[in-house]
Amino acid sequence: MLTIVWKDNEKKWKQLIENLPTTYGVDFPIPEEIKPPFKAFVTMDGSNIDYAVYVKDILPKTEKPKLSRNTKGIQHVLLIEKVEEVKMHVNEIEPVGKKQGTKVQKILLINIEEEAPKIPVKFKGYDDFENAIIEILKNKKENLPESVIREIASRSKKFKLNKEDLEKVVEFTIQEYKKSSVDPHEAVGIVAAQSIGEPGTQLTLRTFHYAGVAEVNITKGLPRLIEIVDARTKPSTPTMEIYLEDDIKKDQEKVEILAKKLESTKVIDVADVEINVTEMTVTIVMDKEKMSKRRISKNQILEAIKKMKHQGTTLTEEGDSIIITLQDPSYKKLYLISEDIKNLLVSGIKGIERAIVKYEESIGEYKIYTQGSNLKSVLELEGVDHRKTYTNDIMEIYEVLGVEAARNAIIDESIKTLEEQGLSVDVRHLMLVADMMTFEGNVEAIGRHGIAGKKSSVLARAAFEITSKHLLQAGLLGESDELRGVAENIIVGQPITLGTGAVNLIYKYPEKKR
Amino acid sequence: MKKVNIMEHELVPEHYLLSEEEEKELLDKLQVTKDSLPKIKRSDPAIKVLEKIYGPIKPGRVIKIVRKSQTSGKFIAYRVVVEE
Repeated sequence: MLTIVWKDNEKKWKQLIENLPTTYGVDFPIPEEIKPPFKAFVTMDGSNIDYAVYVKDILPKTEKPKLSRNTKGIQHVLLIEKVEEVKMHVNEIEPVGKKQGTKVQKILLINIEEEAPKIPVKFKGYDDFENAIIEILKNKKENLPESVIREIASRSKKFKLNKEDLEKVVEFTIQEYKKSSVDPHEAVGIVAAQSIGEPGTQLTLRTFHYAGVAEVNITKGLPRLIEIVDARTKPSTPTMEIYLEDDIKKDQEKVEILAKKLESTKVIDVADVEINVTEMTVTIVMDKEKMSKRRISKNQILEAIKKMKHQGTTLTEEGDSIIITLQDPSYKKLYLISEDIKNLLVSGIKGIERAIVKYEESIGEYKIYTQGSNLKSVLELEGVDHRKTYTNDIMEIYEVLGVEAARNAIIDESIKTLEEQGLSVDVRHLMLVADMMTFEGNVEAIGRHGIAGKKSSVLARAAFEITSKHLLQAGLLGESDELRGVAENIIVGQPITLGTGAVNLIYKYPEKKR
Repeated sequence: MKKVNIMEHELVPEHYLLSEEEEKELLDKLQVTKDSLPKIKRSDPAIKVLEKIYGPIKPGRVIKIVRKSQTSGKFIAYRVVVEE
């Protein structure tokens, strides 16, 4: 893919970003091979690419651009739709095309092989036998789910059915399938609620704090289920299950090193932070014992403190302690700095408190279990299998992997919680819950803060929780109720819109013969 | 630091962008309007990956999602892209 990189100044670019989408004049020719919409890159210093630009269209140069690279000699006017920050070095985008070089002076025409990510195919194909069934279905203009097709195939293979018999089998399957599917207007939500609610009474009410997996505590039972359904931002016991890449997963030593790298160490864990009021300084007294336990060197602490963005501070080393002096000290400043230092990360990944290596006999490899979770950073680590690594923090999955992954996580987590307690609830009910929770594109709670609170009907909302508030609000705003749902129709004493009550019958009176 | 394609993760199903003709066909088949389809945010990580393949995706486009389902093996769902 051929694309362009040009140089621009920071000030102008900031202005452009604020006014998106906008038109932008460029003073260089754009080769004909590049057709809108295209993606181009912009550099500020000539060697680092700072922004990716999505150009929607190239307008004729007679159009007056709002901004331009150079006021004179405008050759094209670009309609810029979106600008994204990227971090790349010019050298990284290879192979370089016409104007070779590592620095961009004005513009650079490059040939980039954008690592266009691929959508991995996660399903295996059908074999001949399964294809034959699909063919039969096609002729009948019917459809069956994949799992049913595979099941028929695997069973009828044993009996070596001929085509006619197979057709009969498929015919019967279609009939049975239709019989067992949900009727239109059946109250699936109520059925799901009851199916989860009834076994839910047997869930443990107490939050267990026992060693679930090698000393890592996990919330279980009802508290966990509530946590999932309430879409909390942080679960009470976030944990991760880290799978490892092939080259290290069988090597205990390497895995231990990686696990140590994960554990986050704050300054407060290895040193005492004191405020010296008489001298107006902050003193950090390092604890040699704790440091050696966590394999932290003095330099690491120094480095971390140096990276802090406090202005007007000077560091002095005195044996085992570091003294920070301020240019114009005040008690408030001293306090703020000491608090910042206490929570300063010296090593490891933010949020991960402990990491435990465990050998999984069933799969014959080492895995790391953690207390605390930070999916994004862990996935990017070398040595971590980014395909399988899992966290029980659903909101984090939503942020890092998207709604669909969050939907899967809700199903997996809730079924796991129920199964741990020896309860079997049909997945379909939990799927419905997950579908509802992720309908709007983000993860919403089930209760009054989420789905139930967003019902369009006033009466339905009032029937659920905090009745007076909803009625008052509706009265103030003059809301109207369409009486489409179940709850509101019960309130006003009408047949509910469910099952047969949901369909309107129109009788066409036969015309009288004259 | 390595670059991670989140689509490779086990939890993430296959996402595809539907062309405009396919969209029309789908809506005709399902007899619904776009606003009754489930939604996906434009800022969703999965959409970000799709944008790297197809270029910018406007709100209103339909995404086809091929889920791995515990009950039916493979299940095709659709989501419509929405602004925040």
